[in-house]
Amino acid sequence: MRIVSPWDEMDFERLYKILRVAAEAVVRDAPQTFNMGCSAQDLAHETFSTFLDSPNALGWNPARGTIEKFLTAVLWRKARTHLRRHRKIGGSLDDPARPQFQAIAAGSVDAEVQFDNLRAKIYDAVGDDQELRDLIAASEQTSGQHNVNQELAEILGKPVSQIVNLKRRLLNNRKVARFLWPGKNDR
Amino acid sequence: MARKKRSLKRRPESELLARLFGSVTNLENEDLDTLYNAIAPLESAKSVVNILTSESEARYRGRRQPIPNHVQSIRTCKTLSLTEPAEATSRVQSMASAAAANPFFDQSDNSEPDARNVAELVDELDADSRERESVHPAARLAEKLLDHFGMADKPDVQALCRLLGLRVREKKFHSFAGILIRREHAASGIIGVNAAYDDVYKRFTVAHEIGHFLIPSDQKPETRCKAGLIECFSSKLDSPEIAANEFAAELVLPRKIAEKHFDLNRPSLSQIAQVAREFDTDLVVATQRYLVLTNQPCAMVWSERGRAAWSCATSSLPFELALGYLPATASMAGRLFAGKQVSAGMQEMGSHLWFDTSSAARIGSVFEESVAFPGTHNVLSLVWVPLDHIDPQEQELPHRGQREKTS
Repeated sequence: MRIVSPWDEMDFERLYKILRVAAEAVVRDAPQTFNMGCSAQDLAHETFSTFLDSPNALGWNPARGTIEKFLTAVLWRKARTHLRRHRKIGGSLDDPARPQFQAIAAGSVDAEVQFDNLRAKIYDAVGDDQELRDLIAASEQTSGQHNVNQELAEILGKPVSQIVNLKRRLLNNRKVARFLWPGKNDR
Repeated sequence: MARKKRSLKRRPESELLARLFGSVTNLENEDLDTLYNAIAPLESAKSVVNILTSESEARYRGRRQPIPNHVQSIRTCKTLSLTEPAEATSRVQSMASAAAANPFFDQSDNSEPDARNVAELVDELDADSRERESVHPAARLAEKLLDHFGMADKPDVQALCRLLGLRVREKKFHSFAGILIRREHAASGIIGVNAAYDDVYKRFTVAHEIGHFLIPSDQKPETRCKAGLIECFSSKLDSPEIAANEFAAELVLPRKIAEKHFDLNRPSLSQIAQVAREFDTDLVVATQRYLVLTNQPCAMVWSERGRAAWSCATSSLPFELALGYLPATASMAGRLFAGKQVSAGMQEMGSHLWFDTSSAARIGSVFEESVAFPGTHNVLSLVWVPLDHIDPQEQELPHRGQREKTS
């Protein structure tokens, strides 16, 4: 009988991509580089390297959740440490140019207004592309949890494969990308 | 079924992405690729994993510890085809052999000069193919580097930096586009790129700075490059900048790959632009690549604020451009500067619009395609003289390599 290791079937490329996407989301409110030149990319690399450099894979136990969730939590903690340090060393408190990246309070009116503004900008960016406009409208009704593609497919009455393509088309729009990752795509 | 509107728990951008894609850890592979490509379009996840794994293995070896299973398993991972040796030492060996194969390698310190042997080598060099002679040594260095690291497709410049011990940082520089900083005798350094530019220009800038890092005749501790120096193929630049641009052009769009995508018999900026888009390269760089490869007599002219700044021609073009007088008002470039509309694609023009009177008298007509760059006062023109428009006697002029002119 062959003992199957949890690592045998692991897709490490996917794992890194998840960390890279998560890193971009976690430091969304921070400047492009923080804590003496660290970027979202560095954060993903640091997390992946920490995982590799640990002889016991940071003590991950497959019975307690996927490696993706485990390392995303590690990444989140690393980001928190970097951002705390950045607040301390990021410049003088009375410097008007000092970076401010305090997120707006969840559930506040400000957050609602900003969300509506963002949607309006994205509608504007996609122009007359009705399929993309429908996709954005449908996002209003999704739960954002599991099977989002299935939910969107039901709402729009399209197959899941088409939903995937629509989302790809949406993010390929440079204006949309600029609104979704403002610091990153500003040119 | 009516759905309940949820209250916002995240930033607006994160909220919208969550509603479209769901949780990051539950993403389908297609959705993950879509997001990853939007965030890091120029970064190959496969290369990064390979590099980080190699570095980690080297650290385990350095500590004389066994490499644990989860690191070893990356070597057998089905989705990652690992062709490069793992050890950090192999990186050093790679760099050493790349340097040995370096066409800039200075051999003047030979303690046993042998005139006859040297003469034989010179003869052998002279007998090299015409195509090889026309390639700049810096471009050959880039070619060897890509071969060495097995980068067969669109080269991942960021991955190459990591392999070479270079870090890339983006900063809002005010007076230059890129900078290379290194310590004396150190095999590492930092490349700073101006965050204000787009990803394509940044990619070329990083490649340009790698050129400064590797070209042995160019070993200053700090090299600052202004925007006008990067992506400029003028012979008036300092030779280190010319070499770094040639190096970078080969790195971002290798000739071996480019020649498969270009129609080398029908010069056209439209088809060059398509290849440029495919390889995340600017049109100027892709056009320079085209000129290196094609046998058609043509030239590109870069004009700024209504005046030709520099040009670059293929060796098969036996006539000189009247650069000091270009672009002519009636040419497409001249019309673009005048704010007029021009037709897309190559247009037939009188040869007097681009060449001096004596040359123009020997050419029937030329084809021109020009594009203006929105938001700037720059125009790029591609001028083509079809072979059947040139007197056969003119075509038999000796090969002169790719020529560059600056006004």
